[in-house]
Amino acid sequence: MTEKIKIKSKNVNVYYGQKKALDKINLEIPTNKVTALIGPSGCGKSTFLRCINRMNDTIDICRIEGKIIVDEEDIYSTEVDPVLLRAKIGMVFQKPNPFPKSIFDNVAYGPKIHGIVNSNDELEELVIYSLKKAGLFGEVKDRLNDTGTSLSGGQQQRLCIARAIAISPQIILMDEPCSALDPIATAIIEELIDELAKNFTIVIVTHSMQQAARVSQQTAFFHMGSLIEVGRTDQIFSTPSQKKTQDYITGKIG
Amino acid sequence: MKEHIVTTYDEDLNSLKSNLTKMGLNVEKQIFQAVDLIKIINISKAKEVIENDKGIDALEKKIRGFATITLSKRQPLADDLRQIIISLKISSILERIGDHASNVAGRILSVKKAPDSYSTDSVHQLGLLVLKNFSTALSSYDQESKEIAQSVPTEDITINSVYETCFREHLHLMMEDRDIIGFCTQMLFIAKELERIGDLSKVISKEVIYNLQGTLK
Repeated sequence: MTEKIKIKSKNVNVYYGQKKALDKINLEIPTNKVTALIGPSGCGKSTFLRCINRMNDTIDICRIEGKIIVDEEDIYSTEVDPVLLRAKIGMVFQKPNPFPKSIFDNVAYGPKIHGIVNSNDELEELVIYSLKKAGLFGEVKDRLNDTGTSLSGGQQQRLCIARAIAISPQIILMDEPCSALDPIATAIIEELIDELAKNFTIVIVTHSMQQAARVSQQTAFFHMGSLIEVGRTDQIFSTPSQKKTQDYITGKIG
Repeated sequence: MKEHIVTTYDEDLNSLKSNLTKMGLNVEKQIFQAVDLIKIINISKAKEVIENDKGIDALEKKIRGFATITLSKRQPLADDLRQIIISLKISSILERIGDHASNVAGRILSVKKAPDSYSTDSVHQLGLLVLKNFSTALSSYDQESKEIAQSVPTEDITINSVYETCFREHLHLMMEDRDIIGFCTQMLFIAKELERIGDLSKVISKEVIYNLQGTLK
């Protein structure tokens, strides 16, 4: 691939205590494209996702070796402030987790604490922009003061995406963002992912092969802590080069 | 071949394959009988071949329905997906081959009897080659063998050249004896039906290779 690379992992090893969770991961993630990470539970795909915004730092027994380079900068170097890093890299989780605050405040919280806006007008503009970008504004415009938790599951997930977008990140990490949603809410989020990929680099962990095939341009298959295969999504799902990948995506006994 | 974790998925794919193989064997029998009719004209057998084509059409519909349900139920990927795609394609080709065999029988019905002066066996010989190559294409599907599939297009080149020879020979026969023009014309139509079966056998072999390799050549 000749695209511009946004994230580059070099020989990344991750240990939880004595247990090695990731083994020499070398993966390049292209700018403004969707990369799907697939693999069975416990294969290390979520661990890898969490390395990208240093979320594993919060786990005491977790140790990381190797380099993760975002825009030519090693994010594990001592000069990098993880808080600022996370402002650049938004994350959406499996279960929607809005703050117990109003819809407006859910989105406004990030820009406020990061000092992104200078006035209330600017803040309001940014909240509306983010809600629009997440495809939620039309549904909530008359009830911005209601609590975020009063929304449906699919709407809550879009609220979390709006919250992630509000701090104008460059990368959005998604850890099974649709696994708690019904098919309609899933379709809305998938449509949104297509739209977001125009401006953001997206890395998504998913257990749905069909979802990975639909939303991503690059797919990486993890198995038992190793990166088995990475390639163009259409190639991975039609003619994977590794037997392990083929067995996994077709649901055969491995 | 490894088995799927969901055993009914394997059962679905196996059932699809056995139905398609069954359809293929029925078509093979139809070609065999149609080719036999060229040598020994038999009106009641010709009618039988035409009647049996209905069974082949019904099998195609059955396979199509089954493949559609399997696609929606399993949402297959990679080799599983290809196996279903080629079963749809091959069943449709088999249905067309069945039509060609039935057309041969239809021509036989209209000629009724070979003129005494008609001495060549070339159309029957062409039929035997076509039947053999069809059987090869069918085995390549059944045995999932790239080697067997690859031999089909090579043999089809021979079939095409035999067809050309057959065509020229009949032109000469017609020029020499005006009384058999009607019969020879029907035989040429039959030869054309056989040549088409040859081409379609080649398409089956290409589908088999696509299934095994994952890319269309």
